Amino acid sequence: MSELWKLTLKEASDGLSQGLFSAKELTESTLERIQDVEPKVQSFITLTSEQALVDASRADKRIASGNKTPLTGIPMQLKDLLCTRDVPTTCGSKMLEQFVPVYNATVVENLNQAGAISLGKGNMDEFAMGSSCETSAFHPTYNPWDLKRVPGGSSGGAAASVASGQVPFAIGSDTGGSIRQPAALCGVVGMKPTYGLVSRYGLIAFASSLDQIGPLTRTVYDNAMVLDIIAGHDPMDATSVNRKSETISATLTGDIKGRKLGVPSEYFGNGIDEGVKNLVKDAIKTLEREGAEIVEVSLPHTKYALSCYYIIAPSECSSNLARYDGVKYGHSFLGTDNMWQAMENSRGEGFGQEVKRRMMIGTYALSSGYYDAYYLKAQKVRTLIKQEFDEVFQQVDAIISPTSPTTAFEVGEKIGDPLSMYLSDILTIPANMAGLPGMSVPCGFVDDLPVGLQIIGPRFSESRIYNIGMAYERSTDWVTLKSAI
Amino acid sequence: MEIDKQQIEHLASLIRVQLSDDEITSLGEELNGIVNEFNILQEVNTEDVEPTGHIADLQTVLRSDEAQKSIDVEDVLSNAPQTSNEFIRVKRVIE
Repeated sequence: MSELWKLTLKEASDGLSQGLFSAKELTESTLERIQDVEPKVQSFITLTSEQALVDASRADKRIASGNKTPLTGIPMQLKDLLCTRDVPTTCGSKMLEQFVPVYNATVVENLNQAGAISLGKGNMDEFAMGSSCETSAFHPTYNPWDLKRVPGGSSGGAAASVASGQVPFAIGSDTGGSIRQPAALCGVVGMKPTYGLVSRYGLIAFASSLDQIGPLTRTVYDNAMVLDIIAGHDPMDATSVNRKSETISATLTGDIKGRKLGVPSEYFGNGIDEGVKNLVKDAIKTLEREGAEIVEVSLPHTKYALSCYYIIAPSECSSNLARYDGVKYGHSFLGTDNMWQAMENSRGEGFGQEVKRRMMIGTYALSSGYYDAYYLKAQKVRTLIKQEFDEVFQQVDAIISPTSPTTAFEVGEKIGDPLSMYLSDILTIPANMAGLPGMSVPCGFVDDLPVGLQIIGPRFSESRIYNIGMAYERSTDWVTLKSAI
Repeated sequence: MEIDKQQIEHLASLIRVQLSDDEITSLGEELNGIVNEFNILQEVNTEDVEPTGHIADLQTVLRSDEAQKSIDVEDVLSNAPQTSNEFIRVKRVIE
């Protein structure tokens, strides 16, 4: 039983059910794969190999007792902003380098209960602020398709670990594109669910009105299998939505006959790479052949979404990150008896450049004299962006676009120019502003680098989005694991 | 409108972050570039538009007023930089 690491989540789960191999063998195979490729990819901040083997043995006992869930015995990586009891959770920051949570995030608890096996914590941009994984305080992650390039971000570790076959699935989070953009750049499937579908309890907060947790996988079906486990109401998150949950994966057919798909011209404008545009247009033709009806639509406020986001998200972050005072937990400067100086030094040493930049922007946008012109104005434009989506979804079932304006860029290429980095999220931000679900699915290669197709739907239309993704995936062969590494 | 050095220092004091001279210079340039981009929003007509704080469509969320188990004191203290008996030790607040 060699090379079990190559199996998709579904294949691995079926194999475990049929007794073809054990969870221990599956875990050992993925750990061997990690030994081979992780030195090059560097997708983990913390590896928990020993605990993973203990958990695998426990999973095997559970499988033997006939009490298996679809995720029992399946290895995974967790983005390092999900609190994990007794396992360091750094958020990619020096501020939390020594932080060891005393409770599990609800998502982690759900995955543990299902019997999934954590292999460790995924690298990320510091406090999820970045689009390249380069703002991590520890090390960058490298794109498995070209090790000179970034994996995208902020969930770059998650996307790179799945793309390089180190885990069949990873959990990321998405505030302005942090699941979908790295999924696109690494050639994997990434879903940002509807705001409120997945509990944020135990997710270290960046921008609370936008943050949402979701899965990264090799296939669309695998993705739905993970979402089925992590979705659901949680009294510990007041924005978690209480609605009847369905098992999405069980309803998927890949049938999209008669589905109306909207193509917004604003998502194919200036700044979008020609090669990327052409592949997405090909993908749209494929969806048409699968029975979908293609409708041109317009979302004219799209061009305001980026500015809107870079006011709202930094404003929320400047408030959320006020809690890091060096007193209760986190990096603490001990070299003074003066309270204010201790706090300023703790925060000055603990936070990196991008985090400071965003706290400054947010504080500026919220400060007296500028609040109306920036923060309040952005909140009003957000209303218009949301209304515009609502109107378009009266005409169509989902929207199709590229996920990222470009393929993976080189390490160091954009890190010195914040504005050019921010443009990486120009096509993913609108879905966060409106709280909508969005997924990136691999749709081909430009110069041997992966390109992602984005599918955005109305709130709670995850099942529909997966069906569209599945229809596309079945009629192409992009999905099979063939990462260059 | 230009954000000057004095304003950068004021913002840094509001977020309680010690900045080096180099950081003050580079953040000043970057912030001016970024805030300049925000001006595009001024061309949008937002008269009679309500602001959106979040999109969860939720009313005030309440739960029954029952005591629940919270995190143990020992756990709470486990990440604190300085402790004293059952307490987190802080710097002197009142001189």
